[in-house]
Amino acid sequence: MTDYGQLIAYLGIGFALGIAALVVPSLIAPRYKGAETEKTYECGVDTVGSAWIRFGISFYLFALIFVAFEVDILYLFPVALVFNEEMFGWRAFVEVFIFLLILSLAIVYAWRKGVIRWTR
Amino acid sequence: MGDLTLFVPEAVVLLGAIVAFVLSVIGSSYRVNWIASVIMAILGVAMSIAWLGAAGEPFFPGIYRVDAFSQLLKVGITTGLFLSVLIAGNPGSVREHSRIDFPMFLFFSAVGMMMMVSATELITLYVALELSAYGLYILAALNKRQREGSEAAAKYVLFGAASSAVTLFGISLIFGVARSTLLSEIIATQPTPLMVIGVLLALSGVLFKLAVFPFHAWAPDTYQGAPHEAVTFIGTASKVAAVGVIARLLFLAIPAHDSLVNALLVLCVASMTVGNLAAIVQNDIKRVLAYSTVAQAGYILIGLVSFSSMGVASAIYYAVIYVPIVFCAFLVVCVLGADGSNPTKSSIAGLYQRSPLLAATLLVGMFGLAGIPPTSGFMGKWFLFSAAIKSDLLWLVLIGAINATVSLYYYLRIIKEAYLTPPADETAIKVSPATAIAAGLGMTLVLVMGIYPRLLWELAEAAAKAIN
Amino acid sequence: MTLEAWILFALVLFCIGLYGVLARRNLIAILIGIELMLNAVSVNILAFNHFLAPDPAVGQIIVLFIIGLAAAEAAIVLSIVLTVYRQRAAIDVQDLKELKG
Repeated sequence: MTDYGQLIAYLGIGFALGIAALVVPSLIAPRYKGAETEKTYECGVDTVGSAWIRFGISFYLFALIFVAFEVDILYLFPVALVFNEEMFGWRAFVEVFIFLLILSLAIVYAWRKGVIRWTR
Repeated sequence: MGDLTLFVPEAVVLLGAIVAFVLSVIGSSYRVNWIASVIMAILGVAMSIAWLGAAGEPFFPGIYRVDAFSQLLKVGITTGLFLSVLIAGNPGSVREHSRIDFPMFLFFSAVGMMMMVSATELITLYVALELSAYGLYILAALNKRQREGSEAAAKYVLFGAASSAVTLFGISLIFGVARSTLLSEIIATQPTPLMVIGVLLALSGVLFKLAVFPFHAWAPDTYQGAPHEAVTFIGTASKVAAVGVIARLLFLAIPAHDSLVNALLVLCVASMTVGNLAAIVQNDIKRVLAYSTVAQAGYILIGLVSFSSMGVASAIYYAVIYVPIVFCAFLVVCVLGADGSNPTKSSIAGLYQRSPLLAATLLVGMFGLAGIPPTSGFMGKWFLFSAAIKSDLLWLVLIGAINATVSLYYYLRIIKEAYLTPPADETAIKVSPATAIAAGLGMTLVLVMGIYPRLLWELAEAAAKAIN
Repeated sequence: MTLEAWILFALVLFCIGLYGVLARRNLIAILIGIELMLNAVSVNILAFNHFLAPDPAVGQIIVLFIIGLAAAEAAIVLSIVLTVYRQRAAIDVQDLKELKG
């Protein structure tokens, strides 16, 4: 058997299992149709109220802080590229440290302004 | 690395931002924060004046240039910052719990503007532009009447973000043609049509800041809805920075300037006309001032489209004298609107009986905007128009003069309300000592530069030479 | 792909973004349009950078800056949109018409 043959056999078994998982229950499972089947989530905790409720504003603020800061990781990539080189090593380390220090000032600001405190 | 001491004026203003940040974070009272900010702003003005003659490059070669041009504009920017901070001792229109952050955003934005006028590399320029804009977007949202503040800020930020994206697209085209982002290398490349389009698109972001005609839609609403003290800063310092950047960018396209000039001529005429005609029908003083800004941006463009050394010098001159003139007008708005409301034409009725000092400040400001002789506004328009005549743009001067006459109508009507109409409410208006000092300073600057324009004009001429 | 193809692609992307800014009424949709415009700029710069620039590092650094600033801008726009929503319970441009002369 060639390598491709193995792959095709593997795919075939995968498909067969998938189809079997759909066909076998439909043959042997009991049929039931009622209020339960109409639910969004058939298993787990019952949903309460509408999905269009007000979320705590803190969620949005967290998300905004995330949006503002996650991208700043980008600026670490160029540093990572040159970090191993003789002339950049320590200098790059210090510069990145200053960069992160400035970024963390913004976190300090958010913290002092009570964004991170969980209020309801 | 160059001579880092050249960066001192910016560094002082940046330090001011850091001081305001620390005071805000440790939760000091607004009073303390304000006093510290005033001191830092005075230091900023002093350093900018002391570094007027400096020239050189503080950082890597070609990226950031300190010369007569940038330093003069930095004096204008720090003056605007100082005056705006000085009258914000008790900013009635700013939301109570945001007041403590108010000076911080002013300072950060001023740092961005100062870097803008020195940047000689497109990405440095863009980052500085954004730094100055972000502070202003937030300042606009801090109004005590939050519904209006948020609307003003939303319009400002969306227009601003869209036009800065267009600017960036222009920058990408310039980069594609010149294969470099250094202005010195871009000037050396042979200009192609694509380059002219790139420069024109790149200008849109700064034309937005200056509120030139097609980019002016935000101005009236933002002026109306943003806190008075924030608008004072937006209306003064940011215009100076914008003029500086436009002057620098225009020189990129000089060899191929015909098509560019035609485009700018249209914007110039449209700005003057639209601004003045729209200002006539406004009732809210801040909206009048917003449309008058649009018209004034048109006047400044007259100097820039003259494409001569004198034209640039006159535009720089006008941008710098414009700061104290507009400040005088906004000071009255800030005092009258101390309860957070916007003053209208009826609320300034009889201002002379209620507070002669404010009435005088308003008079000087309006005369300056209208360009009536003893004020510096007259000298500014004089220089702009004579630069245009020297470049054979007589028809443009005629349109400018007609517009100046039209604008007299609404400027003088405000004066008439203040001096001749009897007040509805006779109570005297209390003016705090800091505001009184600011009013005195503003009036002195307007009158001194009008009576003795020589010193500033010579600086402006040196600046225009430095950019060439 | 050739340089022309990339630039055409960037131009189309930019125009789609601009159309979104001008035609959409929802503030978030306008922000998405602005982001599309910024991404078009990134594509443009990287194309020029790949085919023309003498030093390929320049364009890549520019794009890093653009991405960073775009994120900061998005955060500011979203926070302002949030305050608009808290005041009016709507984020449609049509609802922003209280400021008038």
